[in-house]
Amino acid sequence: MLFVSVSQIHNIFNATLSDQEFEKLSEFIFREYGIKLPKHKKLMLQGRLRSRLKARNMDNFSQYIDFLFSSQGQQIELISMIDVVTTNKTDFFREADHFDFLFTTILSEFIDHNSFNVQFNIWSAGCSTGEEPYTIAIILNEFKALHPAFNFNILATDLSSTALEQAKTAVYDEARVEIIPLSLRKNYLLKSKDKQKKEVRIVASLRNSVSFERQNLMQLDKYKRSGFDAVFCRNTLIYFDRPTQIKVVGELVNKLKRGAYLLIGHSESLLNEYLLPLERIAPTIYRKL
Amino acid sequence: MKWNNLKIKYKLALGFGAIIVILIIIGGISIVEFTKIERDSGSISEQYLPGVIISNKLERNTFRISSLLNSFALGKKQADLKEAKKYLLELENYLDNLALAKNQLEENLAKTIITSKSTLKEYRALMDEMAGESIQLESNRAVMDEAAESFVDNCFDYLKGQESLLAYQIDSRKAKREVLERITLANNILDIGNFIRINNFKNQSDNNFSNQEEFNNRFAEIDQLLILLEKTDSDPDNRFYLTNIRVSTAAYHQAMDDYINSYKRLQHGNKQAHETGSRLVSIYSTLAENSVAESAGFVAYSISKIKDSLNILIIGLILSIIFSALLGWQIARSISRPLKKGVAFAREIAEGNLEATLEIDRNDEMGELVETLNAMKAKLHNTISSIQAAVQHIADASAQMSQTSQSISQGSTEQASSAEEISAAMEEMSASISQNTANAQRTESIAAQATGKMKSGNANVMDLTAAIKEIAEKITIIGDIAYQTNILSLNASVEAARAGEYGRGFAVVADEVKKLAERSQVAATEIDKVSGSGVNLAEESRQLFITIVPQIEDTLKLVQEITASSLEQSSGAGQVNDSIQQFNQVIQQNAAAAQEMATNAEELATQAEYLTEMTNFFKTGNRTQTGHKKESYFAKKKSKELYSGKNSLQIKSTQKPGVDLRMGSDRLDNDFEKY
Repeated sequence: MLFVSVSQIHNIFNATLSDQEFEKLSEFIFREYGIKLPKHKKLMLQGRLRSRLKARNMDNFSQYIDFLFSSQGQQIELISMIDVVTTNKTDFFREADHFDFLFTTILSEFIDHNSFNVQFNIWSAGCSTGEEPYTIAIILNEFKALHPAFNFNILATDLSSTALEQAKTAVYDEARVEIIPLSLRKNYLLKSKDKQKKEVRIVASLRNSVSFERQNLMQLDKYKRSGFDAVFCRNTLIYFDRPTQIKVVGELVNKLKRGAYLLIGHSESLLNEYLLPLERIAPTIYRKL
Repeated sequence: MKWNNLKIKYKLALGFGAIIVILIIIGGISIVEFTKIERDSGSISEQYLPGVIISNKLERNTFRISSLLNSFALGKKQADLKEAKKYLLELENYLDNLALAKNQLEENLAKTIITSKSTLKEYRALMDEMAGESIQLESNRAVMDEAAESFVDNCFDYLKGQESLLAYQIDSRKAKREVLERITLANNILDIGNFIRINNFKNQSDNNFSNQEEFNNRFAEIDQLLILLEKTDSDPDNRFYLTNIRVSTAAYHQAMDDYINSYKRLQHGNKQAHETGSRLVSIYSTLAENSVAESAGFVAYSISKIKDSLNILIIGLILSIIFSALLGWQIARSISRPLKKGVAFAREIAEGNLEATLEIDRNDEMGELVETLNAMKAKLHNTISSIQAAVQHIADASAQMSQTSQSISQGSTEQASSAEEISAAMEEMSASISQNTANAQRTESIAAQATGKMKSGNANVMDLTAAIKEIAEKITIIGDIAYQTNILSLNASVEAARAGEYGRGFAVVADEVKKLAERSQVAATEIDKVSGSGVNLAEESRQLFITIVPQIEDTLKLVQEITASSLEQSSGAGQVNDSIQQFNQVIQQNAAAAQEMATNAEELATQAEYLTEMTNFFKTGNRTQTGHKKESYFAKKKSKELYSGKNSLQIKSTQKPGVDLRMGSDRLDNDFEKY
């Protein structure tokens, strides 16, 4: 364990990002990951990176930035840096109407139009700490209970490795799962034996039904997998600027089958500048033409 | 007043009025003329036509009677006579009726009727005569047939006698030539009689008795032949027979003469009757001719009158046609010309040209129509101009709104990201605060323990000080011991030197002891020194402890306060977190609303564009600029509410309890249990 002196902590918390340093970082982050960091987010970035200073036992940002951009830093620090830069805010059954739609429309259409041996492929792009893909997994399992021949495959990807780690571990505070109906919790969750801990864990079968991959949405063009029946990419596009959003959505649409669905966050929009082969079914729900 | 300014209704009224006046004049003349013609025609029918009709009827009946009589005279059929009489009676009755009504008849006609009545009487007398004669003729013919029969019988009687005589003579072979001659003569007589009879029948059927002389000559031949026979036959019986033949021949001759005479009288009567009939016919035909001539005169007069009326009518009609045509043309022109202009104008307006003009200087209904059309155009022009201006505003505003709502949408997306970040930071902060709370709680308990320990430490330090003092006091003993030991070692070394070789080992020991003693001395001195300072230090420590304990107690109190405020902070952070979650939701709703608004604004902009296009159909001189023309992908499609379940998922778990926990489980699962 690294020992950090109080004075060093003071130094860390007094360290500030200069405008040039911020610009260098934000430019890099935007270029590599598409995440838009306008000037007013300097304090946020500064705050988030302080934990990295502490972790690296450094007390100023110029030192950290030099390290980050060194070849060693690119290998060992970059992932941690981007972990703190990404915002991993998610919930179980977040924007629940999308899951209603998945259950009542997308899945029903799928089994109506496909023979029983065709697997349903769904992708949670920007899965964060796993709440979304596990919610999807619950829905698909429930559907499978009604249609035993139904088979599915859930892909969940995120840029943040810590978020993915947490997602794979699948341990959550009890408060976070309160939204899940009790009957579903009983089937798909375990609770900690230590009552003090107030933690729950997703059951292994559900954990294993989701495959997690680290993925930079900026490099979707190099991503091989496609032919998805539905893609959930929600509250991820908000961190991108418009051109990046267009690019990412375009790539996501390329990965969809015809007639498959794209669901985006409720605060996101595909306005008319997206001349994509999409049909708007409902707000934030689109179908590939 | 100018013609053009005259109202159309007055023009029409004038035109139709003039035509009506002309029609009244022509009609009046025609009525007068035709009334005359009608009167004249009435007189023809009343005066002359009855004459014609009556005389025609009389003539026709007379003809019929005459021909029936003629037929009777020739055919001697009583039926013909009967019918002739019937017609004659009819004619007489008719004339009687006419005579009764002679005052009503035309003078000439009445006169003729009176005169013809006497002629008709003669006609009837002749007819009666003919009837009597025909009866006479019939009786004469019967007599004649009887006479002829008796003549033949007598001839046969004679011939029978002669033939039986001849037969007898032949049997007795004394046949005499004279008998045969007599038979021949008698046969000749019979042949002549038969000839006469045959010719008589023939003449009867031919109605021709012109060969009467020939009959007389044949009868004379019979007489001569009878004379020849009488000369040769002296037999009284035969003489008797011959006398009978002579008598019957004379009777036959006489009967034939009577018959022929009677026939001739009948023919004569018929001729007379025919003449009378012809006279009557000529009377009636003259009458008819006169009547027809009179009628013809009237008809010619009527025709000339009709011709005059017709001429007046034709001239009037031609005049009124010309006048009507001129007037109609003028009226039609006065209506159709401005109407054409009006139609062209209306078409221009229909095609959206509100800058079209219509100028006709008139004060009639057309002028009013033009004025109203112009007013309508002006109103339309104003309205459309206003609409175009308004549409321009709408187009601008909706374009602006579209942009604004897009930037709001964009902004709310950014807001959403910020909210997410705040939320994440808050969660982190919340976690830190919780961590702090836990740490403070731990610090508090540690501090509490430390305070207790510090207090006992203080007592210990006091004991320690005392002990150190005691040590310091007692350390001099060690120095003394070391000194004595050093002296002892010196003694020992002296003793060892004395002992020589044997004492060498002991000398080493003594040396070592000496060294130990020296070191002990040094140590004792140091200990003395240290314990002296140790006493001081212990004293200081004690003093320090006396001051530290309350400080640590203060620290404990502070840490307790920190714990309390950390807990408060924790709950505060929880509240902030909740608020941020709500805030986040609101932002998301706003963002969603902004999306909708942006879409609607886009739709509105598109609609405004359509509206602009539509209003630009009208040319008003101030054309609306078309707004931004963006290819709208989504605006074309109405959002479909495919599902209504806006509330959270309401599916019941259908999964059977008992998920296989071992499957892919890891060691961490051991810390968890089934729900």
